[in-house]
Amino acid sequence: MTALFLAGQGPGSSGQAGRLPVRLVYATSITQAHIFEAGEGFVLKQFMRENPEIEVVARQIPFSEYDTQILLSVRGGSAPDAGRVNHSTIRSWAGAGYLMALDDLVARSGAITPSDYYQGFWQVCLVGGRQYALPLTTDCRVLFCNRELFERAGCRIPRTWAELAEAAARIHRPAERIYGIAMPSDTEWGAAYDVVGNFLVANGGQLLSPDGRQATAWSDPAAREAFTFACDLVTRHRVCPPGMAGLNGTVVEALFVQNRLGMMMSGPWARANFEALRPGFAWGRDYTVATIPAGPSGSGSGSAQGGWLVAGFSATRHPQAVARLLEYLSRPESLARIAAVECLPPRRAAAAREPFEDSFYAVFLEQLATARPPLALVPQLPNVARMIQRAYQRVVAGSAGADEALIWLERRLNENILR
Amino acid sequence: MSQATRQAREARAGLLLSLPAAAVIGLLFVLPVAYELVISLYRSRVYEEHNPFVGLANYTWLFRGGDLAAATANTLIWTVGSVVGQGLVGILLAVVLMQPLPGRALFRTLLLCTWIMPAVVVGVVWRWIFDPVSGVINGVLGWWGLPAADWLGSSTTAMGCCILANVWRGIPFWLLMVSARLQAVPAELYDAAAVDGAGVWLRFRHVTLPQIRGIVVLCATLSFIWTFNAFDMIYALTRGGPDIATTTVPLLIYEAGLRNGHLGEAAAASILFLAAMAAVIGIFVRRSLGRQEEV
Amino acid sequence: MRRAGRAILGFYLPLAVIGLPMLFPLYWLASSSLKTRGEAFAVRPTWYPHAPTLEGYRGVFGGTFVHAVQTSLIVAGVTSVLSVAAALCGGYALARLRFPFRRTCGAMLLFTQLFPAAAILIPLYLFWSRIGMHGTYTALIVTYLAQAVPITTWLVKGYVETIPIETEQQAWIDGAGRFRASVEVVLPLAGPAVGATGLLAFVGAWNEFVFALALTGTDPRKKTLPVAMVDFMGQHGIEWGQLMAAAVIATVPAIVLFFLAQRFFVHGLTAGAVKG
Repeated sequence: MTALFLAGQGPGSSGQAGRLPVRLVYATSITQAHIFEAGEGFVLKQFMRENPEIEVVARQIPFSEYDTQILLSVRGGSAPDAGRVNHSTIRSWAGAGYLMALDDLVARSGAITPSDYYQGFWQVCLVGGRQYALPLTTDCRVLFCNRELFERAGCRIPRTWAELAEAAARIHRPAERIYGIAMPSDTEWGAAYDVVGNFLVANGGQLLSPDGRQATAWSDPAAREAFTFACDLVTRHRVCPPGMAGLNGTVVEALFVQNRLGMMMSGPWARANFEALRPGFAWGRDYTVATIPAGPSGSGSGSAQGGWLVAGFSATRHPQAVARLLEYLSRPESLARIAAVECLPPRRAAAAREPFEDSFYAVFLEQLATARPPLALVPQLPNVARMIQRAYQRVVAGSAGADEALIWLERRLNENILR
Repeated sequence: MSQATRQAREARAGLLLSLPAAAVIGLLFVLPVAYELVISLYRSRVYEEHNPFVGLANYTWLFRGGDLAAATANTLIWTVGSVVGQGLVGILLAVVLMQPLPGRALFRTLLLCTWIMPAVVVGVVWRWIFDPVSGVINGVLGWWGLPAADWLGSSTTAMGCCILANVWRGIPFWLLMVSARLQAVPAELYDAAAVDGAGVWLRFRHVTLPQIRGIVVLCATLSFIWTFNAFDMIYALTRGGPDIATTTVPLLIYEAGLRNGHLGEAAAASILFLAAMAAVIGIFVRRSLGRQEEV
Repeated sequence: MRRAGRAILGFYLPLAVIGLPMLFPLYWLASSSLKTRGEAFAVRPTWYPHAPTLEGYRGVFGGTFVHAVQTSLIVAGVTSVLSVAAALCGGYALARLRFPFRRTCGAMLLFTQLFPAAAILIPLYLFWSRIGMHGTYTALIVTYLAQAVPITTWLVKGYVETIPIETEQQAWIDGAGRFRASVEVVLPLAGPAVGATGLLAFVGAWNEFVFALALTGTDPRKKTLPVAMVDFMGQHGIEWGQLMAAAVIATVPAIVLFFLAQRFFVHGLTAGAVKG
């Protein structure tokens, strides 16, 4: 291994190969100290201990600025050597030539077994048939049910959309500030993934054609149905709290832990957030989780999937060291650690480890099998997500009906965005 | 010393004093403008390697988008509302705080404090204050038995709330500038007016107002430009929503262009935007520096 | 008694009516920094922390935040001093002297304000990267100067114009050289201008985010406060306690500065009165 490494040292490295440490810059979107130190920080330290000739410096960039900052640094000549890539931007960056091809690494590595990964997410890493990233973390959303409110209203865990609406209606008592169901909608990602996305996938609907060149928001009946249902929860069934046009995630979680919200759809990070809001609010006793009910046109449950990939940047001067690092990060132990606080690991071997053996995660892992990103991963994805948020806001704020909004959305996407 | 020599010396002194600043700034200004101009003529997508020349296509696209008219209207409301609000309250506070009464330094210090948080944080805090579920405003309304409202989620109130937050943030700027100017107003002017029997309002109108006119115009221009360009606060408050009720031109540029790597379109919008603002500045500079020739 | 009545009406009442609502969000910020997250997001907001906690502050001090305070002080302080110096020169020139391209200079100064930061970010970033100064304090300070100097220059110009030219001419006649006379006359009266523009430049640099993130944000030891604060906003939730605590801590140096700067404002008044 060391010989391979030494042989791979190019002219860009300093003097005596193998003597002075190779310095890699690793970019991540995790800026919160406690999460980083428990996850990537820990794994990177371990890596450095086992590979003393490689020094890894983490570059922590806030999530909201991540893509812009990486783009800037690549164009400015100070690109990181390796780092996270969002599942929504890999096509764009691979297309622009920023990422290293990893086919060789995958072929010869013993630690990376493609079949062990959840296949949907593995495919995300392939662009034009070549491998440009490795899955790092993934997530999906499930239905959280507040036990006290469910018992009080005498509801069962809903298994269809009709049951969902009914349960929410039974729980909803706005005069007492108790609400039926809510999802965070203050960002475009919240609207696209948490609000509309879950229903889309659970109904088998597609807002964009698979090749990403056409919008089918209106043309696809399943998509139409899903979007309409998401809007109806607010406008017709009226089972949501006020402010669904831009409801903040912490507010949704706070309502839930105060036993004022019957249901919410969120991901594995909710557990840590609940703990911060109300220590002792426990899974099993105070709330349960269930897979998202299948829609009328859906073939089974479905959920919006997101997640992060890890890649090497093509501008790096130490491709061998980067390959080493990527391989180390893909070991089940590493992946389990990195995903532990907020997400799920992208491979089964990691999901079999602590803390994912906890039965809290059983439903998530079950849901993961039927989860996929709610939209085709086009380069203009942030803009598409924003358009979906706008369409949703139009209906929720009362200026348009769901049908109108969908027609507008499809037209806009086709004319303006997907050019 | 002859007139000609004096003028020549004056000219040299003037150039010497202002040239370094103007040069550095010119460089840092000319560079970006040139860059944006060039980029705006190409189909420049981050994720595409091939950047063909497309001429004015990026400019026409912006007009076809359909959002430009609404964004421009929003921007004008946002800007004028903010500047007028900040200006009125700021001037009032500056005048009130001219009185050497106990607690003045403390008040001035405290009132300046709303200025010293980054726009992002201000946006996040005000978003929380306006929150329909756990926000203070609805909490207070509920306390008094009034119904709660979705302040940032309703197209009628969203912009007003953004303006309120911006006025809150910008008052200290006016307070500071007008206060500094008022300090230099000779006390004799006020005494003379008082002797003539002028009351508070007349003293304000005939002594204070003319004195602060210059600084008010300058502050208004600066404030106008800054508010026009402001991005972080609205983005943190509403993301430009609901729909595009609070989308101003900078947000449009960000969304339409920078957000998904459509650099060509973003550059074209920036150039158009720059041209419009340059006209405003041109007018101001002509008036302000033109008059000065008489000195 | 009537004087006291008028003081209340003309001073304390307007300050209470306007000032209290203005200060309320700051109070909200401070009290939220001492609340547990659960209490902060309770459906019925509490006016003061019922169970005060320092967990927010503890979280903030655990990280690199203290460095950020130091960095911001350095960057904003240097920007402030240098821009006041440049402004005094340039502002006087624009106000008093006639020289070719005077109007162009003035216009160019203001034109720099036209671009939103995001629009010039890329070219500026490329510029600093190409000359190898990416990630330095200097790059950030020069960028801030480019933003601050135009404004401060115009403001000083405005203040200089309010000083009657006769005062200066009197000093020239009294025998002092042109330059020395102007300095001795203008500088003392420029106290408020210096204070105001210095504060303006300071606050501008203190609050700025976009360039700070792009130019020095990736180095944990060189982050400024706004960048450090955004670090508390994660993908799946904001660390509210820490963010509020950070915001409170960030206002402290500025408050101290404001308080100290008050003396500039008193100075000008007395100097003006002496001349008569």
